[in-house]
Amino acid sequence: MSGARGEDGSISERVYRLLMRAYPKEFREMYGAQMEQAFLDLCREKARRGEVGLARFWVRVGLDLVSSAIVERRRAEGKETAMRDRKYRSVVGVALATAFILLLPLLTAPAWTLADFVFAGALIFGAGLTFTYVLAAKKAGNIAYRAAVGVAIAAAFILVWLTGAVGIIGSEDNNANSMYFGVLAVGIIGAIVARFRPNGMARALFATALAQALVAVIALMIGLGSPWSPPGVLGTLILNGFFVALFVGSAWLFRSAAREQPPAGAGQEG
Amino acid sequence: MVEESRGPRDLLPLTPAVLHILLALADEERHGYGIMREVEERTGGETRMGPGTLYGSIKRMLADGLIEESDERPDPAMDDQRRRYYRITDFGRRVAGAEAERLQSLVSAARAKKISFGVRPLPGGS
Repeated sequence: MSGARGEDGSISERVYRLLMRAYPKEFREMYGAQMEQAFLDLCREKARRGEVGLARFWVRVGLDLVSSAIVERRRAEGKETAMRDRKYRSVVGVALATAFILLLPLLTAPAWTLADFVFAGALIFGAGLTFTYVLAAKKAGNIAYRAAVGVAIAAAFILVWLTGAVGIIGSEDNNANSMYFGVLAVGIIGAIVARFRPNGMARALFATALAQALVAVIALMIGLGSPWSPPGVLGTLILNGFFVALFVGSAWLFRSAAREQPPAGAGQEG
Repeated sequence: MVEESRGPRDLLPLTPAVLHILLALADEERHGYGIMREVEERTGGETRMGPGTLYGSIKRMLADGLIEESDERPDPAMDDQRRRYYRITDFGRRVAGAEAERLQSLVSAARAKKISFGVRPLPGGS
């Protein structure tokens, strides 16, 4: 190919490759090789036709390069700005929602201490941010995936709230309740390993449900939280069963989301 | 996928480059240089698209579902690892048709206003 290109072509190719740095990196990675090929074809055509006027050729190519590079750079910057704005709006939105929710206990439960507000605020804000982050990271298009994330975060939220506020095994001062943070750790680690992909998330949530059930079995077998007041053996079973149901429900929704998803590679942009 | 949420008229007016690319792909699959050649020949050398304009347009047309990348290599003699072939989608045809209609109504309006035509000879004309 280089023979057909000739001396003139190889120098022009090097110059063109250098000038292509004017385009955004993402654009270069996607189309750089094809553009270079098209440019070489133009050089070859010019040589075949015996056209003279290297300067005129370069003016044409140079104008195209400069104008299109400006357009691509503007578009790339616009995309980055839009993403930054979206992130900023999400954080502000979650913060406002948290403040609004905290107004309720402020107006109706004067017994809340500052620590209660800080705990509740951190919990609500964290749950809201996690929800928006997971949806943004996955660019979740299907309803099942959104519902699955919502159920999983709601379950984790209520679990932390109950554990911190009143305790599930005996009272909130019972150290056995810290086992529930292990349950959440199973879910979080599972989600990270799965990289939020629906099939992996389904497995992670099933594992979380299993861990939740295991904690209940351990608590009842060893007699943690006895003399079982409150919530009592039945209450402990019902409470843990409630969370197991939520985690299993979320796993089932993730599985549905995986089935709705097109096969890998289908429908991709670009 | 994209076309499901948008009608052909939602993308109008098309840029001249996009319309030229759609027309170039209307009869066969082509690679980038093939598109540039077709446009130049069809317009009698009046429109010469550079690689930057071409691939910038291709990027957006792929995102809009107007064209798609083809796995086939219809021109093995000119083939090269870097070449990618593109073909027009059904949605792309409908969009091109809608744009042609829009331009036709503009031409009709110009005729009705007694705007004179024939400033330049058509390609291939005497």
